[in-house]
Amino acid sequence: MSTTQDQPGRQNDNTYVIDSESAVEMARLMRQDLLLTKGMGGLFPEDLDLTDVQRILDIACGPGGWVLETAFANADIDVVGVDISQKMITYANAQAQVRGLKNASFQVMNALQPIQFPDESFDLVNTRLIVAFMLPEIWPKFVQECLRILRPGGILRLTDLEWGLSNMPAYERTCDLFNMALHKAGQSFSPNGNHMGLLPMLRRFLSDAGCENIGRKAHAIEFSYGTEAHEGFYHDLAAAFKLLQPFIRKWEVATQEELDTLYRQTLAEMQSEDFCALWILLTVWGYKPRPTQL
Amino acid sequence: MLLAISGDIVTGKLSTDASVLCLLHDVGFMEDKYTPQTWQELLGQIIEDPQVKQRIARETRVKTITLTRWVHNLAKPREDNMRQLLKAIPREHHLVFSRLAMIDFPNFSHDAGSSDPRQDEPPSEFYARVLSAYANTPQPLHTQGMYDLLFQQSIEQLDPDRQGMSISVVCCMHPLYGDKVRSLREIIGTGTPPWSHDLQHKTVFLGAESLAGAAVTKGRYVVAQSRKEPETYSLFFAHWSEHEQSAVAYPITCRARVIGCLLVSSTVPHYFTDRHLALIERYAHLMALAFDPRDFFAPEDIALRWMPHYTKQEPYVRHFNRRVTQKFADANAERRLITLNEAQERAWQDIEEELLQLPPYTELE
Repeated sequence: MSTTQDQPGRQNDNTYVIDSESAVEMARLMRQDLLLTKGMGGLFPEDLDLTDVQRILDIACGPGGWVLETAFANADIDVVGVDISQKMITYANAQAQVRGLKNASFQVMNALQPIQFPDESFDLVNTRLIVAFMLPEIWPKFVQECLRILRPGGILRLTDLEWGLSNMPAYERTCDLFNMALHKAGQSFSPNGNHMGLLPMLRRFLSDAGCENIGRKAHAIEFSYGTEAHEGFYHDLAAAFKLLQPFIRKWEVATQEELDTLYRQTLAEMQSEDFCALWILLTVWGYKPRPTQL
Repeated sequence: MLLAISGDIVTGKLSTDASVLCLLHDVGFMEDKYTPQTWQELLGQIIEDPQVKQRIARETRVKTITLTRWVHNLAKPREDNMRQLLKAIPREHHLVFSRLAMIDFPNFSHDAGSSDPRQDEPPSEFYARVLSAYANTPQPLHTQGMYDLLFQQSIEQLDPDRQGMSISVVCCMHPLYGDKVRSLREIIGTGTPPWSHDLQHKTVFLGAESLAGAAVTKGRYVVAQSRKEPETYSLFFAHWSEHEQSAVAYPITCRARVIGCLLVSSTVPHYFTDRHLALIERYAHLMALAFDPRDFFAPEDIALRWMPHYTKQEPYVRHFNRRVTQKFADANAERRLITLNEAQERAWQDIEEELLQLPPYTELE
């Protein structure tokens, strides 16, 4: 999967848009994991048949929220999480230890490089919200790598998001600035940077890679003022918008002064009783073909 | 006969098939029925009843097909799966099951289901992350970042089996008049079901009538192990909330001054063991790092009043954001600058003042 020779100095970098070693980012990701799982209606809301699933890999697991919850809910499944951040992995292992989850484990790994597991070693490979670091040109090879480590009949499951839908100007502007920065960084599928643009691509990646029985399920998570999700998303985004500022500044989409003003306005808007907003998530899954019977 | 030799069974170190089978024969186990020779056979007998099989699968958090695979030796459980199995199977099978399990799991014992291998201390990595956040988090994210980290760590460790817990930070209200703290406010919290993950919208004012008030006033932890035994704790039962069956309040202090307490509630009566209390102490100490040391109060500056029952407070808290908006409008009209935090603090102080005018909580309520 390595494309280091194609574009030197790009694929080996940590392309995540936030400092992944930050303790606040770690706490934010744990919160976000819970918000997403609840907003989507569970760990596997598409009712996948897990009868034959005994080993799961979660790629770019962060501090391990999804892995830990999946391992807790399924004591007969070994769940492995990998992430590029050593600190995230150390922390995730500590959490597995305090919860006594012997079937959860974590390893450091860069998802932009070949996955360091043998062929056919997992029954299900999962990713969630990897848009924030995955490069468009890597996607097809990444999907091939996921299929390589899946057993025949195994499931590849990809979930990602589109954000920025709201009725408030500062909130929308903040999301727009990030989308533009992502575009300038070459990490967006949107031709003009108006959105992230990944969702329309997910099914295509699976079909191009030869997956069978491809399924798709969309989720709308509303966190308008007064909804149950509002408070959690407010805290999540208050941290995310601040932590994203260096990335937006780096790509010269806005000045720090502009970002500071916008940040204050965005927080005030989100606390307004008129605030309405949605995240759209899409889960796409497909099965690795079994060898043809002769 | 079984009782007579059970002591030997408990203390004996049997590790071979032969010795276990010999033992089972000696105790005359189920003489009229086929005697299981492996734990798989015993489990197979137990789960012949589909309802029992479903229950055991649910309680051990495995699929029913997995139980079948274990029985037929098509898959092997881990030792922690075996501990969960021991908890889930009918009690009359515990002794035999554990002796048979020792064949495959030499360290397995009959009390494995009740032992808890988890740590008594927060792991060093947790301390490292909290200190890293304390040292490196920019000011606007500091307090919330510390809350997030500590809530997440503490609830993972205090409620690993998701039996139902809430953890809240309860803080002294800065006095609007005079210099004495008159009430506490539950400012933020987290929970596992049946509580929601974010508890900030559950803001409640607490006073001398509460467990939190007692802990802050006394400067030491207070525990209420069961809401069904109020006579034991007399005063501290004013604010039992829905789901809450036991609770602990531990003061958050810095340099012997107090800012509030960590309030931990469980759905399980008598949940809090000495191990839990020690952990709560550690997390209360760490939580002090979320605050500015200048915001802590000397004990003599805390004179809590009685507050109305939390159900009576809801109408006053409901339109909090409108009050904040009004504070901004007032400041604007007076050509004053006011920050969001200041506007919120003043709105809370107004609500406190209004609540203090209401009749305090009484047991009749």
